Amino acid sequence: MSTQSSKFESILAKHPKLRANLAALASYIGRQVEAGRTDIVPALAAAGLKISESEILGLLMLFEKQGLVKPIYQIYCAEKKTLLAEVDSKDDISEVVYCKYCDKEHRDPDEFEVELVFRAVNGVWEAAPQNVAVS
Amino acid sequence: MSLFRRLRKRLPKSFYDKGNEILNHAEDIKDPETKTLALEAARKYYEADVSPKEPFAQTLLIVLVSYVVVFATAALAFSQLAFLTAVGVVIGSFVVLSFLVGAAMRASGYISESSFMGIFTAGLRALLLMRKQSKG
Repeated sequence: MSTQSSKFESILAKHPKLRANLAALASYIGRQVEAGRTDIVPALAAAGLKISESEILGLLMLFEKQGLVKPIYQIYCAEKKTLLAEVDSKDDISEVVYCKYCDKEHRDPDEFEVELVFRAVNGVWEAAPQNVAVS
Repeated sequence: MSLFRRLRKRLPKSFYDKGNEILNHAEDIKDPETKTLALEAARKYYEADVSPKEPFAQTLLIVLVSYVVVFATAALAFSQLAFLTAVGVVIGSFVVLSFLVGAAMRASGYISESSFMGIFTAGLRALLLMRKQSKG
């Protein structure tokens, strides 16, 4: 059994009632990784699986606790809508963000946007459980 | 990162709006297990029970003005009223002040709703205990 499978089984063991949604999300992440997309956007996963974003966030939190994904805060220029930086924690979001597209430092927090994504951990999802039994 | 820098940190309003939206949706989830997870996640990833932080200097000014008002009330009470009545007025104004300062900190995003309610409840309990002891 791969590390990924054992971690996933561990989540299922703790939350048996959530098996269907957990399996659907694991399968979704596996497909995304296979397609070369390692950043899982909760809103897109929610739309794809027809589950609310708040539920997806809760499930992703379980995956994070098992080291299957890790949260990334992406900082975008609010005006140009371009990615400026990525940090692992909210606390690491700088108060001053230099934007090379505007050629200035954004000091007002409303001059940038923060988006939360979950990055599939390298080497874990290659053998993803895309056929998890949903019983 | 120092506490002061942490207190000063402000995140975009859109980020808090998103957090609150997720928190509201989480509140509507029927299944208790899913709901608990969703609420925990909303708080963890979005600080969803904290509103956008106002500039710290502005909050500090509100707190200072409130303290000036309570000290002015105390001075006026002791100069105009009998000692025991003045003490009552001062205690009362201090309670109101504490509530206002807590509300200002909450509105400015420096403390969460649960912290504010926790402080407020503890304050009320302390007052009730004092009243009970003074009667007994």
